[in-house]
Amino acid sequence: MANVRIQDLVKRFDQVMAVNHVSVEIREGSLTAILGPSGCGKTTLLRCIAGLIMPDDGQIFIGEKEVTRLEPFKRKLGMVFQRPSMFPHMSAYDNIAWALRLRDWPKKEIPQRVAEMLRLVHLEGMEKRAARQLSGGQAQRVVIARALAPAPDLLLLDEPLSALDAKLRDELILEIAEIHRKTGCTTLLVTHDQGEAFTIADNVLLMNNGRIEQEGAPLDIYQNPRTLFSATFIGTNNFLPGIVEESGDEIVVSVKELGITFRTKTSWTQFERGTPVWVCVRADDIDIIDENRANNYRNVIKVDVDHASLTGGMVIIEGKLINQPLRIHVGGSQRFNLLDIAGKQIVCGLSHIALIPRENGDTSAIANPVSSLQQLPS
Amino acid sequence: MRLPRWLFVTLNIYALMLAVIMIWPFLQMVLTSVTSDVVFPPRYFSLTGWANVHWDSYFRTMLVSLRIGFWATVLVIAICLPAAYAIERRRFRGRSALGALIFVPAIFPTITYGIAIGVYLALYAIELKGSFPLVILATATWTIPLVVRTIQGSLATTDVVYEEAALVMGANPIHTFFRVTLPLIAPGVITAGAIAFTSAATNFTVPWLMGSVEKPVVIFIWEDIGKLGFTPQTAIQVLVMQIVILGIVQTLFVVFRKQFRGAFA
Repeated sequence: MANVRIQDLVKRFDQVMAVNHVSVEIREGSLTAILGPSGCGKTTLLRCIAGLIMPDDGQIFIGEKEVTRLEPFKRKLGMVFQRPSMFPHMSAYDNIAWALRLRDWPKKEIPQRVAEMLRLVHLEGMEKRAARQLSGGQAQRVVIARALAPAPDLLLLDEPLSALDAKLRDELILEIAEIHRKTGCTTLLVTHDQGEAFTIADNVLLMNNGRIEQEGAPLDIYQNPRTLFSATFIGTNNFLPGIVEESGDEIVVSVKELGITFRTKTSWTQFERGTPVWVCVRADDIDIIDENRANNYRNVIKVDVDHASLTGGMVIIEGKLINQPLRIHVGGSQRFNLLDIAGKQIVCGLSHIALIPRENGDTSAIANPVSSLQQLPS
Repeated sequence: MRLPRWLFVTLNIYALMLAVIMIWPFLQMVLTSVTSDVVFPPRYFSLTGWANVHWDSYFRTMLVSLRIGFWATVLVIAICLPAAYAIERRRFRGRSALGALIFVPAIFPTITYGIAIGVYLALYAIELKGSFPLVILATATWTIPLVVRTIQGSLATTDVVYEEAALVMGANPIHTFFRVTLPLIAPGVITAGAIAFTSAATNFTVPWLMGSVEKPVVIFIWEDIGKLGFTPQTAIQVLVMQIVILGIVQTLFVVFRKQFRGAFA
């Protein structure tokens, strides 16, 4: 078990900067998710750490040891890949036992350790099975056991569940979290699925265009996006262009086009007066309330509902704030009472708003307030 | 898509005809070996041809052919395995040119190679002419393109993720190659070996042009035809040769299939 320190790491593929001057420290024993869209450089970063790709510049430390140019087989890592990687010509037992032999595990202890690892991944009694006799999920569990068996300094998970079906994914992600709790092995999980990252990680690195866009605890990233990318990539957001009117304990922002002001005491940074910002309101942070409960909220808006649709676990309400489109997500049992509210006006309390720096004069997002990378200015 | 019945039947007949054409020479050998009446269809059956074959000399030359096949296969696999790996797994300047160059022996007729080697021998090492190692080397060279391509194909369809997994687990590249890559591409290597063995063991042109001191069975049969013309003995000798070589190749497949069960699945 070790911490990982990455300093100013650079990796180019021809003209493309896959990893662009990344510096980050991963705490010993943590489960860190590298989250980002396809092509953002997250897998390249992980492969640099594994030694499967040599970086062009920068340094990687695992514990106190610099491993930047070290061959992968000398790094004492465990890795689970996106594609199935259980050796098809070996049984589950041999897959795990070979990993132990490669790390000079005492011969006598190997059978016991293999049994222990198979128990950890709930595959007792399947040691003789080959990959073709196991389901995709079971084979991936063998790979997890194989990676963890020699007690590596660091466990790397490169989208380990993306080849599996949704139900299995949900089950296995919780199993990975449980295994991490039991072993305490420093773990890096690469994923494009924010649900996966937020479910199990205690730290999230959000990547975009080869850079780390934001780093923090899942809740912090969810509630306090610091860039437009962070806000658009995670969850569904409504964006309104405002100007900071008052700064201090409470920040007051006015959205002149709508004639509305918003107030917050929980901004991640102090904005000076006159700073252009995006007022970012998550679709799930909008509560439908009775007008007489409005005093409980710092920000209250009135929305004219155009349409409400049930998706199962929640109702998506599309409506207008004055003349601007707005989206609201409502969960819980309240959702069933909202299916016939099209055409009505509802009062909404905003449980949380976030402020994000905005280029002056950039108001294009207001036309398409619902989160979408394509619709927003880059 | 469901084919109309008439088209389905026609395609089946067509496939069957192709199969018959492919296997016909073998069937003809079987038929001729059990008759001394060389017309079709034979009017009577007889096993006298079997008694007329000089089995001692035949099996002596058969052994030479098998030795040529064995050593040429060993040599060609040893040459082609690293070459195919380099072309398929490594990225380097001139990679595609090397891939094309390796295919050259398949483009020139065998005789070109035979004569070229003959010229070199005449010039520099006349004492090596017809020697067993040289015959092996020349027959092996001829099979390089097919063997490289076959192994390359097997490597291309084997996901590199297994090798990466082994490297991260702590196996060095050599260990990874022998413990992971080789077992996984075993079907391709065995097929390539079978091609090399069959081709080398039954090669007529190269040993003939080299003036091979040790006579392989194909030259023995050829000389027999020269002396006696096409007789039932010829058919028997060719038939036995085919059965022995096919038997060896098939045995290899069975043995290796057991060995690399996962890779064959």
